[in-house]
Amino acid sequence: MMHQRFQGQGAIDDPVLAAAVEQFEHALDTLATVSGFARAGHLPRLFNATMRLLKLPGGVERVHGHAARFDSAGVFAGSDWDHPARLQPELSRGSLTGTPEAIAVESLSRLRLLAIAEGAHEHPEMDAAAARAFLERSLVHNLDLMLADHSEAARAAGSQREAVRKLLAFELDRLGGSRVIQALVGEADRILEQRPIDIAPVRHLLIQVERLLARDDLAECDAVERARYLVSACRGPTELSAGKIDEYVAAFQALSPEGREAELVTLGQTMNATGLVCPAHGAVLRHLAESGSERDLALAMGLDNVGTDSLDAFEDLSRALVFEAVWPETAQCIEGLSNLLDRGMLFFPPVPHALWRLTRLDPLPEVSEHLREEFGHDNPPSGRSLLLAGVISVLGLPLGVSQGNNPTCQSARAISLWAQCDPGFLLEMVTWAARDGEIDLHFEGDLIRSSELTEGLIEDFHTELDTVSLLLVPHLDKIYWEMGRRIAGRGEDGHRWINPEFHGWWVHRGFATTIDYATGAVIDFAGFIRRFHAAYHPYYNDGAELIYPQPAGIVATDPFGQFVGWHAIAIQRVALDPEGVMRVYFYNPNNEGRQDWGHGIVTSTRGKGEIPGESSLPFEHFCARLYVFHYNERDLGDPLAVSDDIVGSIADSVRESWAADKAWHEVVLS
Amino acid sequence: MIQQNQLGAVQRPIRSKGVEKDPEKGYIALLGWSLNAIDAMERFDRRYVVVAPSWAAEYARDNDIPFLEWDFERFNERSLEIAETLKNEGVNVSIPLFEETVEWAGAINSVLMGNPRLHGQSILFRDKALMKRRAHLGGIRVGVFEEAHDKDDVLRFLRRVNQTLLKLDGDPNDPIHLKAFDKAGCLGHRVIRSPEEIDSIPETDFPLLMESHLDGWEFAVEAWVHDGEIKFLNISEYVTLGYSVFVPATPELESWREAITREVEKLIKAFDIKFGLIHPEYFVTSDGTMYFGEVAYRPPGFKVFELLERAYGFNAYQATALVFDPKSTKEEVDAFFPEPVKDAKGHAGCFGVFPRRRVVSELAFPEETANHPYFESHELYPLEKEVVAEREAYGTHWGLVYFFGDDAHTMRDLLRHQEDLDFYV
Repeated sequence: MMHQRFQGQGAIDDPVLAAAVEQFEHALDTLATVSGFARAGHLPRLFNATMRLLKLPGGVERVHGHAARFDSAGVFAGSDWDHPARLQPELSRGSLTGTPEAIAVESLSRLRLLAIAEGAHEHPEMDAAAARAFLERSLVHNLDLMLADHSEAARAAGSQREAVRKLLAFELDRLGGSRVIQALVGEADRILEQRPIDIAPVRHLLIQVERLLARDDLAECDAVERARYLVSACRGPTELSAGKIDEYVAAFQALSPEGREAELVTLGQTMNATGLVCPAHGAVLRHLAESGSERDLALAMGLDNVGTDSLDAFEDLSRALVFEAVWPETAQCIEGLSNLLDRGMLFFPPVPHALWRLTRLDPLPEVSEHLREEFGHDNPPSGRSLLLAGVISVLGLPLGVSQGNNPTCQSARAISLWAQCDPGFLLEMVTWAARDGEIDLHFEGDLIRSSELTEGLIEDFHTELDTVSLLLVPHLDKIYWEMGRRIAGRGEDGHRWINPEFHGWWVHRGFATTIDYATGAVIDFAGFIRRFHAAYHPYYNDGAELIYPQPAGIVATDPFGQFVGWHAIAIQRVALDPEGVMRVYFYNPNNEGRQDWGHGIVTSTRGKGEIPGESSLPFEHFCARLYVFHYNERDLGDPLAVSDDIVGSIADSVRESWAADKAWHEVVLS
Repeated sequence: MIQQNQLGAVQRPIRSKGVEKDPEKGYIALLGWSLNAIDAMERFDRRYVVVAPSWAAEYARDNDIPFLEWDFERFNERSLEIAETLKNEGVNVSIPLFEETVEWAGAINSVLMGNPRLHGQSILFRDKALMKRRAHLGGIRVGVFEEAHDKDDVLRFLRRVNQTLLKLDGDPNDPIHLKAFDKAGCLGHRVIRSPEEIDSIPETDFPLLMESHLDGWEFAVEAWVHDGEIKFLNISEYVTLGYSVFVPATPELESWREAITREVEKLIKAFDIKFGLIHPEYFVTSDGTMYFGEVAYRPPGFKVFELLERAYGFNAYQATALVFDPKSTKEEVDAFFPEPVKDAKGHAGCFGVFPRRRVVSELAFPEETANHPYFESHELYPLEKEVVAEREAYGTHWGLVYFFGDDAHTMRDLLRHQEDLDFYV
């Protein structure tokens, strides 16, 4: 059988690719030849060959080379894809995350649309501009599919995700254009605003953006300018810092004093403005720690008044931290160090001692090896440097701790809360885990040691985490599990006892839940909501501030308001936002604060008075997803001061959503 | 307008599609419903009509497939009617697609071609006992065989065969094989090693054919015969009988090609075959002795035709139509076929899936199979509920898995490895 090959796609050196191309071309040729009624039998072979090619380097391009033939070969005959004008970009997600067959046919369709957009193919239903618009909109809707995702669903989908990622990257490359860049940059900005510790997903996005920026045909606009700014923040915001890293310090030293100062100011300001740090920043900070002035250090870290005072008071320690932790490879921790100094963390009496100890601590060889392995760099710094860099980041950005894709919201929340309220204790635990390979906590008078436990929530530890979480979560998870085991049988939600012991004494012992533990029914919801107002709402609790952030449980729901699961968060504060709306500001350990919980309940992460890393909701919206909270009995206002209207409207909202199919029992006063 | 769908009348397509038909060439009737065969004829320059049961009529009409409704269930006095209808239609030859239509084709072709012996010949292909005798008479080496009418016959045969082999009491028996007279391939095939196993044979299986066990390498051949000559001979290698097959065979099996060709020529002579596609099975022992197993006058199972098209690029259904068509010329036939082995682009194989666990509830296609570069597709269906898998005798597989690749040994080992994997759990 003749094999039609396209010009410019000559001999293939890679035998694996060559074999996959042969399979694809043979399947397509066969499909094009057979009668309409026999096509269905040949589609599986084409779809399998498509998936195989999409996964291989250079494979997407090979598939695309045949795109002009897909329509005439009958690939889409009899399916929705046969009518591209009827396809909706919003619905492409279902296919791209569906079965391999769905991914394959969607991929073939998209590559056909790309060919139409590029003028290489014509379709009576769709012109080039429409095809382009479809793909651009679809890309924006599916941006997250371009990021590494280790969620359970994504893991199950295995290499299919990789195929989709390659396909979308190819489309991005071919489409280019400022609108796509605008979407990508918007996404990067919305993540960065929350100041996460692990910024690998942002870097991945910006790598896509950087490729697009390299094109000549790009029209200048605000998004393109912003894109260049973010990419330069990653690569180096000045001409010198974007150059060769090995030559940077020498080049910096060769500058005039004014030039040096300007360079440092740019580095510090760019970091503060974006949350991104370039490798050269790490190199120059090391140099300054050795021989620079205090002022140089302050400029390079973009310190504010408190930060400058911290540096002045703890100059030796600050220099030692830079010297031990900061390398070009770990430069991102400068963002943490700058925040740590600005937040005055060093004035917490235990912190300087604990940090001094960590500058000298060599972790266990297996711990070091693990950290270096997970660091994802060809030539990682020592385990001690990585650990210290991680500790600095957590102390600087306590709201940037993430559970990643592990079911360990409890452990992530604990790390974040310790970093905020009890940093000395956190550093103790880091030391134990790194030096002794175990940590211990007490529960109801008994010592629980992680090294004596085997069970935990984690089945398959996903390691795209910050260093401290990487070190501590496996221990914390097992201890949390053990505490859960010990309270089994008490017939009540165990968090009543676990939370204060697991997180710390400052978690209030007062405990309220609206879920009946035995039956799962909603019980005394009105009383629950009144009490929450009386404990947390400044209008009902005599304006009592929340002194320590408090763990709380929310019901996670999907954008349709349907129950998804129970989730641990921490209430940080309750306050009026700039528009005078009373809001609950909270920490969400899944570290993607932008969530649509359905029925208009969409969490905000910016513009409503949030500190970076905080999520917020209007007080009533928060109530509509709350099911567990702790409170201080001494600081409780009058629950009956809350009007029936307020309680009733929240209850209605809950009954329409996560409690729709739950039994509902209110207390009836006789 | 399309003609009415009625028994005995050809239902013609409204519009013709596919390849332009050449009125100077033969008019072919396909006996049995096979989508791939119909598709092949659509794309071939011969006129054709599909003769199949009523359940296919609507599909044929919807897809413009020329169709004649016929029920092949019973062969009776009305059987001449279909032959007359086809003759009046101008059909030159009928081609059996399935074991059940082989005798019909013989009967029909004897009318169409005015050659009564074709019907007798087809009966030889349908009755395994007659077939073996005919081969034996033709000087072809076969195992020992007998017909059995009841369980006593089986017991006696098992004893006699092992007695002949001079087995002593306590020696393990050589097994015997039981096969239905008239079923294709492995259907109804049982292996009996001990008298106790005889009890498990259902009474409905009788009468049947018993054969002594032949040690050796079992393989199949597909040979296209025109004017009494082999025009193309394919050797299909079974990795494990009933599980997998691939084409072309390994160089080791292909090294017997000369000897195999001579055996097939003997067969053609013994059965007096002038044209058509034959599908014999043989055993070759380590010293090169060839034993005849059986021969079918129809396309092989396990989608070997589709494998051949994948490996060589020629369509084996079209090839079959070509050698059946009395109007084909020698030049046309010679030009159609490629050179065996040398012209193959690679090796195409398939594996028939049987559930390995007794109770299965879902399709779990093995990742390692899906990721193998040779894997091309599969036709396994997901399960909707828990199923208790019975495997009686050599049952019917649950679907095929297709592979294609460069290296024969990789293919062989890959197919064998599939036997160790669970496709349903």
